[in-house]
Amino acid sequence: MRPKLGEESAMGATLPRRRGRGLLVESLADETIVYDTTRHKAHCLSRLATLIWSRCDGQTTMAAMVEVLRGELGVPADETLVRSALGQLERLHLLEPAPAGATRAEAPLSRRDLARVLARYGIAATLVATIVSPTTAAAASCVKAGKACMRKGVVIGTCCPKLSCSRVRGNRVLCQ
Amino acid sequence: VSRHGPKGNVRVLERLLSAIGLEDPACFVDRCAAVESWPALLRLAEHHGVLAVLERAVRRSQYEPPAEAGLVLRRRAAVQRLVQSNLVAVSDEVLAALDRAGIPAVALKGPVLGERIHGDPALRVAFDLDVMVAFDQVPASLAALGSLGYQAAAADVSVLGASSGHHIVLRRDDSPPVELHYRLSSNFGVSIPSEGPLARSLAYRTRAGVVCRVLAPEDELVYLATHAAAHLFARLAWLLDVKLLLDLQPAPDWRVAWARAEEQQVGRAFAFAITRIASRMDICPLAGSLPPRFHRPRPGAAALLAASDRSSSSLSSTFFGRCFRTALCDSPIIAAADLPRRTAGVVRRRLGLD
Repeated sequence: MRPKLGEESAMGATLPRRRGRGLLVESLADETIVYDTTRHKAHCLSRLATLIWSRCDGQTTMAAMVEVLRGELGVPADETLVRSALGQLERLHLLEPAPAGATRAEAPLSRRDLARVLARYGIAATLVATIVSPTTAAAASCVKAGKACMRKGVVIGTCCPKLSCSRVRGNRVLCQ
Repeated sequence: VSRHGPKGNVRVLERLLSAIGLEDPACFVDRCAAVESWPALLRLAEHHGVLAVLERAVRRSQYEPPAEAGLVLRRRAAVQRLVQSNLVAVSDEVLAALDRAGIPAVALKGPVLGERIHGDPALRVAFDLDVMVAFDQVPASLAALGSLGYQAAAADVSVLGASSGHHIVLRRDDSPPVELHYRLSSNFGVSIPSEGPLARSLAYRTRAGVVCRVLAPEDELVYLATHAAAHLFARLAWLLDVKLLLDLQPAPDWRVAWARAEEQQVGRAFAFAITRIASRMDICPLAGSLPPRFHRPRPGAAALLAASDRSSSSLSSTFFGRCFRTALCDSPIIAAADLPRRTAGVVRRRLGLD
């Protein structure tokens, strides 16, 4: 039987590991903001998600994560909760991809199912929220041909390679 | 934010920004307490690129906005800082490459200005990097930045030095673009060569230890103010740049700044811009420094600016914006040459000929 993400194999090879490249992190009082410089997305990790994610070092076992949650948050955590959180972190590309041969513990839960799981543990907050902002939108990889890169003189995005922000349409400038 | 409508909303934000850095911190707290809707204020601050600056000012003042607004402010300011810190890293990489190649390069606006005026490069929002070099250093600069993977479109290189252009855009996958200026700017009917400002520029070492150059205070004041005017004062962040630049040392010498603006043939635009910025950002030192010949602004300029802002039709907004820029040209001869050239440029682009 193939090992599952989050389960320890004999070599510990499938223990989850935080993505090392392309993430910028800022810690706030009770949460962590993570900016993915590759996908230009920002995520807000709740304290619970932060506790799990910060221990995704390729060495911490699920059982140890459960203990941390119980100790730090005082919630009746178990492996189902940790696995649900890991599934969401993985879906948002905040973990290194599972090694070849490993399978997911279970398919990532939908937002509604995840809320149900959290409610079972008396946790109301969202684990990870993606923040959509003009800043991240403007920094997103590139603006395609015919789309606006500037509005009323304000840069709102950068054109894809081989395009230039030069086609004036009213108070907008389009990439062409 | 304000019962006085959208204009009132902007004014509330302007008053908060103009109170940043004042000796009397109670003034900022009083203005925070007068905010009627924090969610609307935060949306506006984000649009104007001043959210992270506002968050720091609120935090330092120890004012407590409503809980939900405070949470949104902290989260979104953190996102802005992270997005900008990515740009800061690229800025250092680009400036270091030019320095290694022995090319004197002036960092215009961007993270370097943010570091100087805010003490933190990530607090100033930018989506690209503006670097100015001497015209004859462009090939060497293209080679230096090419070694980092930055490339310019061949079509852009072929029109290098055209009378209306002032920069060439270099791109690299998953990185902010670099605008390599070979002229300081080309607005209000004049192109300002890079050589003069470059010769007067000052050496600067970034927080990361990268050596570059920054404009002399007077050149920078004229450049930032006219840049804001050329973009119709669309972002409060540009007005704040000017306000905070005036607090830096060495402070700009107003007499030199006026002389420089006139020498560069942007005196009228500078007079209009600095008067407008001073009024909106409560800048006092301007009083008395305005040369008498600029006491009466070009008739209609303010009305054209307001019409451009107010216009619901994009076409008429563009038209009024162009007319505003033309109205601020230093002489009728420059204006007469500028408007047809700009109009022809718009027509060419609309027809897809450019």
